[in-house]
Amino acid sequence: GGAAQRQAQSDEGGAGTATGRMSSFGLGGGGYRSPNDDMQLKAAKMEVELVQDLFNRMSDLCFRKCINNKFKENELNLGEQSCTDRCVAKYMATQKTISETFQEFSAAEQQRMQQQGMMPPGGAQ
Amino acid sequence: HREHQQRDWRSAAAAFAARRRPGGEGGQRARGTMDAATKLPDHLRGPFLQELEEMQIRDQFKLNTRLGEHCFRDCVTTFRSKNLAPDEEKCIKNCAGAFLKMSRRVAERFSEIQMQEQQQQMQQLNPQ
Repeated sequence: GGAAQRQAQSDEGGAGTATGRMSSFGLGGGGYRSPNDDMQLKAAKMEVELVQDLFNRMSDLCFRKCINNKFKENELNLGEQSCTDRCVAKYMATQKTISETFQEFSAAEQQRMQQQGMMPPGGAQ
Repeated sequence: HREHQQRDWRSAAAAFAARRRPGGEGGQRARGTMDAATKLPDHLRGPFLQELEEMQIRDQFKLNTRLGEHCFRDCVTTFRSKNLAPDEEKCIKNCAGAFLKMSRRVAERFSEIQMQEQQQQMQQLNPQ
């Protein structure tokens, strides 16, 4: 995701400024946008969605695991507070491990498919 | 008077979200999403921020329904009556309060960890 974005930005080069001027004529979202612009906007939107989704799932799970279900009080006690802190740390670590594992798996898959002649070497990223 | 009543859905939704959003939680989550904004070229930032506002309002609505589900699940256990018993009402109020407070805490820890990871990444890029 990040690498694709950076490459898109460097491709803009001279053309970028022309479209930049053009799109600022239109009203906000109604102005002309190049397909490249749309791609960048989409990527940014998707990144936000990813963060929101992660945050929401983490909140839901930590709530189920840490917060007492009887709700006699409106405050978090000390145990619930530290449980929450640890839950967030572990959830983030879990997510990181999963991302790394997934990347390794994808890289291995790509290699495997290249060796079997299903993909040209130096394939898509 | 009439104009007031004909406010479009966006301002109504924004007002709703502003009332609901606890200060700390909204601010900290916004920080994470601002990274996406800073990566964009200048001319796209405005449209992006508009989209971002919509996404945040939608997220607030989702929070509403998620809360309802959690607290219904934990607090409403019998169906002898159509109305909520007083202890169920109290339970729901406490449940919502506890969830929102926990959510604020989650946001604090989340942004701390994100900043740590950013710093680590920057150190890896500029080892000095």
